[in-house]
Amino acid sequence: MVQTSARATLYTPGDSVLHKLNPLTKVMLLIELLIVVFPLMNPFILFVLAGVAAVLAILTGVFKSFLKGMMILIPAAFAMAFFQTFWPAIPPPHRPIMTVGPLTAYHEGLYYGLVFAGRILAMGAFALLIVQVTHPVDLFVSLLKIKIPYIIGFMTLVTLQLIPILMKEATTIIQAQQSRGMKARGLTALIPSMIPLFASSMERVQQLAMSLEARAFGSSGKKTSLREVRVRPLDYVVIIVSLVIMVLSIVYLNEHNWFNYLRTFTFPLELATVLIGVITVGFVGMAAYFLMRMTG
Amino acid sequence: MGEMLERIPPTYIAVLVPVAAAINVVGGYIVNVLHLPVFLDMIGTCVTCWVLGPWWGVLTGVITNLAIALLVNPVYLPFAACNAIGALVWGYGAKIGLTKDFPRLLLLGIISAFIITSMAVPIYVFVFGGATGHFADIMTAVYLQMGAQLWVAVFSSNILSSLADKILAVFLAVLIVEALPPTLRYRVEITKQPPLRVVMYAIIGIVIGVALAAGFVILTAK
Repeated sequence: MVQTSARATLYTPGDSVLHKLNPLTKVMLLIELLIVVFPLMNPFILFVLAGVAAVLAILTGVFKSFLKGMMILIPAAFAMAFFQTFWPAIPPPHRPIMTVGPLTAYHEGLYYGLVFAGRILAMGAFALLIVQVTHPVDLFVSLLKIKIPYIIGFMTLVTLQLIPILMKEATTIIQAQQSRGMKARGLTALIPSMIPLFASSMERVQQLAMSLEARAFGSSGKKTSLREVRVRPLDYVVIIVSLVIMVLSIVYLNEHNWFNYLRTFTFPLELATVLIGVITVGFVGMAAYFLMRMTG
Repeated sequence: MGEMLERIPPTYIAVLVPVAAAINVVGGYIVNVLHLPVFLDMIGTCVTCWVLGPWWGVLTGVITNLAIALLVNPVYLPFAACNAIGALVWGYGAKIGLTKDFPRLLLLGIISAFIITSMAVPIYVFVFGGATGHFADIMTAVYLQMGAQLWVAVFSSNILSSLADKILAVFLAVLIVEALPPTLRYRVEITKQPPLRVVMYAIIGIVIGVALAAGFVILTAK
């Protein structure tokens, strides 16, 4: 059970300091980070923070799957920057930089777009890192200790185990249907691939319920876990130090208005050209990719 | 809740919720493999909120998004709110009799699409700057160029695929519920009709959903 649920998730084994911290300490660290990162209005700082998370991922030895997880955010980041650059969602005045075809790019828009992209990348990077160094079973064992109902933890762990099994089944079903002449994509393929999966899942419900019954699920005895989670002195140190750092940085950042140069920052023309070029190419490439996939 | 717990064994609840959550995640996976312009990540939620009750549906939705957070990336955790609100709409919709016949089911699908999209738009706008990271972004750009506000553009570009998505989810859920043992499905009124008619309704509903999705593709491609 422990192995399956670990393999399915982003968790990557290792023995770094981050791996050894108590899961709840890590969750708290993440929440503190998000509280500080969300109001930050400086793209430079946000991108540096995302970079810091990447360096931490290298140091803890989880970089490969970290990169894979971050890739999913890239299309969204391009779209965010693209929308804001050309149609800033902030009140005017907007100072124009240049015109690309029918579109006009603005200084405020480019700045705000980079803030959005940087924010999602920084937040995503830290959240991903924490998930990668936390064993899901450890997380739920420590959640049980703070009185989260057992059934919720149980259901989440069962879900995590079922997903790879059902995915494998779905792949088999799709391949089997394709060998019978089903089209490889498109809406007509939906029903032939979904229905067999539902049928087998419903059978699984019956089997699992019976095996739970046979193993006395819901008995009132004390439940134990294969994995032990401890709270060590290091956890207390990390919690106290991180809380102090969080409060100090909020005070400091607030004094400097969260380094917000939205209204004053002017991009040099060369830099703006490169940035807008990258953003536009990224977004148009993404759009072309989606259109190609959908229409076949 | 009391009535339900008498008739449905607790082990079934403990198993149905995880299987439903896994169906949610795998539904999203299949859609991705087949390159479809819908999400289909709420079918399991629909099943549990009908069979067990709205709040078990909410739990299914939250567990689904927790699993996605642990499997893909935790930034998608806020969308648990969409899944939860969908469970409440479908669950309480079933309680006031919206699962009785075909037109009401269709209505339930349409209502849920509007409510769930209204929940998703603020998340897209405040957390993701209006971007979704998938096909709907193309339409958003078109609406923005036509002079729409960001949140209007995001809503308009998402509502059509959401309509197709929720109608499909509702009728696929009808098919699943129909396949469940009678002790589990006694709360879902449509299953009291002859099985063949239920299957026919489901197929008509799915065809409507597919037609809407195809319309969306054609509209985007233009």
